[in-house]
Amino acid sequence: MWNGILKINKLLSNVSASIAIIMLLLACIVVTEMVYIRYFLQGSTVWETEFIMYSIVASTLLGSPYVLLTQGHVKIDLVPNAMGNKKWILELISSFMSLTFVSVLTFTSWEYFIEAYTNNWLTETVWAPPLWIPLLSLVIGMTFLCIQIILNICSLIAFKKCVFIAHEEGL
Amino acid sequence: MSPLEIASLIFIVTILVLATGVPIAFGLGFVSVTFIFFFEGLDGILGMGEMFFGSLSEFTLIAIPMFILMGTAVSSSPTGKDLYKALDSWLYKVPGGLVIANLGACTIFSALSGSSPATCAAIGKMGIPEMQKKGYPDTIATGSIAAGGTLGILIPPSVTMIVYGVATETSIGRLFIAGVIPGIILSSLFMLWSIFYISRYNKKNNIKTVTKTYSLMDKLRLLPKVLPFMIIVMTILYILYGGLATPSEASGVGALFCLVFVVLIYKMWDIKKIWNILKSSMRESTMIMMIIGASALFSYALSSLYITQSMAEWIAVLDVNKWVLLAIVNVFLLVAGFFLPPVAVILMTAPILIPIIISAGFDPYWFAVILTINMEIGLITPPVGLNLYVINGITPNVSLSTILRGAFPFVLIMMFSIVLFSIFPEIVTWLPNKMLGEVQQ
Repeated sequence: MWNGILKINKLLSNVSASIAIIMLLLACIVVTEMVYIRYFLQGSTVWETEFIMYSIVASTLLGSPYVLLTQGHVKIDLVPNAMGNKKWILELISSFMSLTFVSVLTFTSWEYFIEAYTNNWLTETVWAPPLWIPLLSLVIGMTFLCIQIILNICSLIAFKKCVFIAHEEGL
Repeated sequence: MSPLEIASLIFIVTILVLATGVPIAFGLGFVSVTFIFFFEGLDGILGMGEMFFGSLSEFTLIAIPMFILMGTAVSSSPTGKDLYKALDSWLYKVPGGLVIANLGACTIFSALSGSSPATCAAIGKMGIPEMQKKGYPDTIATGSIAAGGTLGILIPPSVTMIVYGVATETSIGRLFIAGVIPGIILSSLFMLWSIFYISRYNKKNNIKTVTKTYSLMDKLRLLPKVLPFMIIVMTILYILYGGLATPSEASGVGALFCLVFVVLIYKMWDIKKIWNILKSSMRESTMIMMIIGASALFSYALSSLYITQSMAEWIAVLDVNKWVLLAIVNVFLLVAGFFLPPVAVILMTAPILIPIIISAGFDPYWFAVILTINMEIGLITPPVGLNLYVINGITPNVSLSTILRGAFPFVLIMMFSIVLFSIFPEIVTWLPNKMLGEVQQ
């Protein structure tokens, strides 16, 4: 059962990360297209700036659960490494701290998203797409992140070990 | 509680929180949420989601993932190796030519990759064993690469400079230009020290370094592989100097071209390899962007608790000599750099330090260079010195203490350069002033 849950978590992180990677590549291509239109064809661009900006935001937010899973978020591990067998205690403490922050972020993000959706808010540009679309990456990314930290806390309490995996075991 | 008491409390709590090994982004977020909740109640934290999203939705930030992508594409190809070989073939006759080739390759590669550990790994993998083979002592072989790698965050385009620009609302193009001359000076000082050390070592031990010879064909053969990347860097710099496009636009085009060149020149048709480049870039940029988002909340907490303002007023009231102030700031940055990665140091300290620095009459662009050199020192000093561990990883036959001994003179050189640039700030400000005009304070 537990392993099944971890597998689903890994799958969700991987899917989310794949979308993040595609968004990054798309942003890169669209920047080039924008530069071409603006500087070579002397044309004006409408949707590009905002699309690129929100693609990068989406890439960050959707990629975040995967980065946590593969231990890519930079941290100072001098003290935990010096703790030997008792390392899991610090990991538990730090996971609770992460959870405090991420759960506040998740809750307030959902609130923001629901408000934007129900009031049909648009972004403040010429293109003006509905704001809830870019906000989708915020709620999805933060919710996955929250779930992952909760899973890690459960694992630390039950088995005294993290659910996180090495970079190579990722996607 | 007075703002200064709250500031001290935040300082201590942040250190304790980060020491637990919590990811820096989440640690900063935790401190911000806790303090805002504690002092302002529930209302204070209700806008967190919106604020976090807003802080990431900045067009300027695009340059970070794009330059990371450009760097990862170049680093995961054999460009570093080719660059090193090309320089070696041209410089082999110069005394200490190999170490100069290495440092030169580090300088150019750091411009391409914008990352210090990546530069160390790319040039060191080939360069260190070559230097060892030719009888260079381990200390200088490893120390020079460790130090040369740190240039990655000073020489443009540098991710650290972009983060500084975002945190302090200064012009990123101007920051890039400000890094050029100090980068070249530091690189030259590194070379001078290496030549001096090697010739003294050779004389003392009566060693004659054997160098292989290169024909003109050898020299020309590598150029087509190296030139396209050098052209990209030159074009980016030209675009930025000429103000033809913004750094974000230049970074995006540079990233796509580097990716395409890597695929074409090194025939990297395997989709898996390209995917891995994109994956590593996403991983690194997400890490940095999350710290940026969290530190936006952190600086919101600092300013809504009146800490930023009170600190600046407090320093002004103290009325210390501006050079004493600068020395204190330097020591503080140096210590912070020993423990934290450059991006985190800049984002956490900029909201407090920049008003102080500007009110003391220092140029924020000059300060960016001083701060970056401090961060460079942190990269080759324990306990967090990332470059030392990268070098240790690629040369398992050299002990960490040897690498440390090799890197130490370079630390002194960097400290010397901080003093030099403090006495003659024009070295840093001349080029940006000349190209873009003086800054209106």
